[in-house]
Amino acid sequence: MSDPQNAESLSSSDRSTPLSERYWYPVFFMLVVSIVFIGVLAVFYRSSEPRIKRAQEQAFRSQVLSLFAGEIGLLSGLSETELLSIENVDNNFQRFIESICLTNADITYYSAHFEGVRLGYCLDITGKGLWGTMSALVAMKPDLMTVINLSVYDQMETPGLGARITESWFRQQFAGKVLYDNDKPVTLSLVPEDALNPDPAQIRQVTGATITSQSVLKMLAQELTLIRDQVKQGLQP
Amino acid sequence: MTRSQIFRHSAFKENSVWKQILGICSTLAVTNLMLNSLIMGIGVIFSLAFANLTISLVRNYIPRSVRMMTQTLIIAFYVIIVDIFLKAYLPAISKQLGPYVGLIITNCILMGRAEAFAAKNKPLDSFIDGIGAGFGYTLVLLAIALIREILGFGSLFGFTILGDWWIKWAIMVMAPSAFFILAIFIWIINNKYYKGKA
Repeated sequence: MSDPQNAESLSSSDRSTPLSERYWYPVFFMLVVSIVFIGVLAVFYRSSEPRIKRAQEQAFRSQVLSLFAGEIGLLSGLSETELLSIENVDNNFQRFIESICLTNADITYYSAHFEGVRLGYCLDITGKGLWGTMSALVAMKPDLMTVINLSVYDQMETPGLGARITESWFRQQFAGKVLYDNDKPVTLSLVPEDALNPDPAQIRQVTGATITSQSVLKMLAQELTLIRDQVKQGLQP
Repeated sequence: MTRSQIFRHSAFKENSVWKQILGICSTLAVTNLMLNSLIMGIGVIFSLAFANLTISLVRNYIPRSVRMMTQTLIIAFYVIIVDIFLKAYLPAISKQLGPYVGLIITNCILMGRAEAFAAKNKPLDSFIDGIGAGFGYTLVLLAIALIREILGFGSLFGFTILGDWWIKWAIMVMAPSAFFILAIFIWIINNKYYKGKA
């Protein structure tokens, strides 16, 4: 049984097995396929990464500028479309907005100005929504009490319901609202969407999205206050 | 089968949604707006056709034991390409669709066509089959989105159709409405199209 000839024939038959029949072939195949596809993907991603980054940055800048569109327009005569057109966003951002970083608190906020006149501050806040976190930019007058405008720029709420907090009728309700009374947050409350004459301390909520509407108010009362305190501290000479 | 027969077979006769009841999750999720449905459909057609083509090209080299892993890898590859492309060139739409593009990977239609067709047929035929199945899927999405967007938003592709007098149906905006519409849709098609042919 163990004569050398037999052993020889066995190993030669092993050698003649096609590649695809070897026991390690599936592992090898999977490895090669993975490396090839992931390699191509990595190259493709790397090559479009600058474009993606730029698109994101531009969207953010245009968002910040749009919050001050009314103020800037009043002083400079630029219309909102001129201010936010894709070619001009970067220039306008540099002209009117200054990013300020509070390194000790890891907060970046934005200050808007026009020829030496301070128009206000824009704070970036993040809070909890119904389905996930949401982030908003809040533009405030230089007193850091009155809201100029607000924009929820990142959210995961239900499209058509909670996501309607991004619609202008909802956002515009916050314009001119004084959120602080002697540094204490003022409590805002919700009224139905079709309420005719809400009080100054009332916000018309999105129908069918009570939790989302409440989340926005909560975010303003809690997160905004936290960040505002830090910013105020940073502003003190 | 000729190529046009392959197309008609996978788009209508063996339609993935109404005949095979595949891809239902995304049918429920993205159909509240026509535009989202259209972009989703185009994304699926693209990734399905090219995944089918690639799988068919390598079908004779794939070991049986890792065949599904390979198919998933190839599908994921094309879906991620679509995702990166949207992020780089159509950021607004990419934001609208959010996580749904990535979820094309788990769309059963892609795996279904890979297993049922691409793994056994020639590359070009598989490509046509992918386009056909994707087209059939898009058709269903658009049909459901048509009803949901008109009743839920009063608009079509974002343009207001029904005036202020229209009271928007909140249920049409949420996923449950797609259940009803899809069910009615499948019922009608089964009655009209397949009755007596089974």
